[in-house]
Amino acid sequence: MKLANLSRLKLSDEEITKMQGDMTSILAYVDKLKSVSGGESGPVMSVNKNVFRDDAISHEPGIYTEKLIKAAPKTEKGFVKVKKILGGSQ
Amino acid sequence: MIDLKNITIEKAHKALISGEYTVRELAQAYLDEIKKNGNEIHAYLEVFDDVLKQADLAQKKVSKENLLAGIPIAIKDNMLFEGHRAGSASKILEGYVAPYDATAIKKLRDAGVVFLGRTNMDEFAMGSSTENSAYGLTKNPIDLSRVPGGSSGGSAAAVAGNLALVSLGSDTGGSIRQPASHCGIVGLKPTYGSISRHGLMAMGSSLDIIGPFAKTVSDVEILFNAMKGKDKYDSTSIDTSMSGTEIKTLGVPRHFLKGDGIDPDVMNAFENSLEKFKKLGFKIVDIELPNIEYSLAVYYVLMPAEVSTNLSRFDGVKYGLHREGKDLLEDYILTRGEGFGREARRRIMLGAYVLSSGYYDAYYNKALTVRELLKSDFAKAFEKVDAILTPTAPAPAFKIGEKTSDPIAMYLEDIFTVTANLVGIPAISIPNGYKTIEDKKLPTGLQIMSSHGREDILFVLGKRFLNES
Repeated sequence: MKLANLSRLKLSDEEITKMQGDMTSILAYVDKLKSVSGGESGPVMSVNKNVFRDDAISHEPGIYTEKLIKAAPKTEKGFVKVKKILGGSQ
Repeated sequence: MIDLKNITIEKAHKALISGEYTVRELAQAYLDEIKKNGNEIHAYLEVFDDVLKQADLAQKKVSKENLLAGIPIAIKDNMLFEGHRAGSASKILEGYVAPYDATAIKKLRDAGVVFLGRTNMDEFAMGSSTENSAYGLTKNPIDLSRVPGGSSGGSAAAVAGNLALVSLGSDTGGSIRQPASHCGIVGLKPTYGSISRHGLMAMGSSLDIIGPFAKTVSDVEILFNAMKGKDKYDSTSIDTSMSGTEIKTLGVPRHFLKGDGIDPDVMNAFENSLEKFKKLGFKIVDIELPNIEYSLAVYYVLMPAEVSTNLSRFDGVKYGLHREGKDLLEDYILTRGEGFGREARRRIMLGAYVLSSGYYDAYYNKALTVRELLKSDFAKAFEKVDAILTPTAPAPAFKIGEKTSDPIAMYLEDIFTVTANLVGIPAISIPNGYKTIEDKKLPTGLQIMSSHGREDILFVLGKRFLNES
């Protein structure tokens, strides 16, 4: 239940029960990892480096705006409309 | 009448050059076939409405040097093709239209490939049967009571059912190779990074790769070469250079093939393939991959962790579905609860769990450690052998509905395939024998793995094995 909330998912009571069963069996399966000894945790990003875009104008401003705004479900005057984040119900 | 059953890229190319038929006629032949036989198989979520327009444009690109101009292709619903719908077979992307081309798509488009439509898949590429699509299931063209495999089941079924000449899928843990095996065709999972992921909807970013399906190894090779290469929009993409040393020795991890979960007929077909390679002059040796039995467990920690991170972008604000709650938090929870299907929800929660502070070391960090051990196991093995052979899947295609209630049974479908994704090496599935059930000849697959950047070895072995030259 807490996990569903943290994952930002609304689940029905029935599904929560089923999900708990599934999670228990999957975690029991992956528990076999605990029997592996040795080895070192590899640096995840060892072969990758952060790559930054050149600090320069890459394209004419606004040429993608309309397309990208169109994908959003709620928009207003060329902006994506979002409910207030601070000072809400919490 | 174009023989869609036996057509290859090369045959179509020759016919287009000689004027035997036009690009439009070839595309129309597929559109007719889809209309006639496509509904039952349900390989496509959508056949694009501009196919003939694309065909006319492609006709101008037909030339002796350009093998791909005019070739009709189907693409998985998780890659972006500008101006066309793309949705990863998920309700949460309802109505989403791709604002740009994925790099792989762009390269094919520039070559003059004709995109027929987008194919069905397990939602966000999570599954091994295409039953997790929010838009209905796809049937295996060889036996309509069975699944085509997954997650790229629609793309595999399209080629096997003669509804596309070739197709594209994506492979995170077996999603190209397993459906290729179940549908009796060739499927390639290239070296990690060899084809750009730009414009491919992310599932497990350290595992995902785009790859081709075809009826022949040569066609898969042509598509791979057309899509590969470093891309400035994907910092993990690389240029792979292949060097041609002689291929002599093939390794078999016998210790990993002894489990009782493997169908005896699949094992028989596999043994026969080893005999065939021996006759072709290759040496077969036993190899040890000490940690390979942990691969699937590693995968089911790392993949959900990456899934839970990647799928957090679907929040009902930026694209797709939006459900209205009393505040922003409730918007998120309602939108995601309704928009994601059961398997997606399961993996998001599993990922959140293994990444939570109390369990991070026990699961996520441990899995990273074992992944490194696996990489060194394979590095050692490739000092002795040029390629490693296993069956692609433990059994032929299963019945629709057979595994939907047991996630572990479904996950075990990927037992032989996940390792290549964890290690980042290329692997190919080629058709290898049949198991006859209820008068249906169900195909089984042979998986060949080679070291990083050595797709050339897979192509040589695959062609020798299938007597292509």
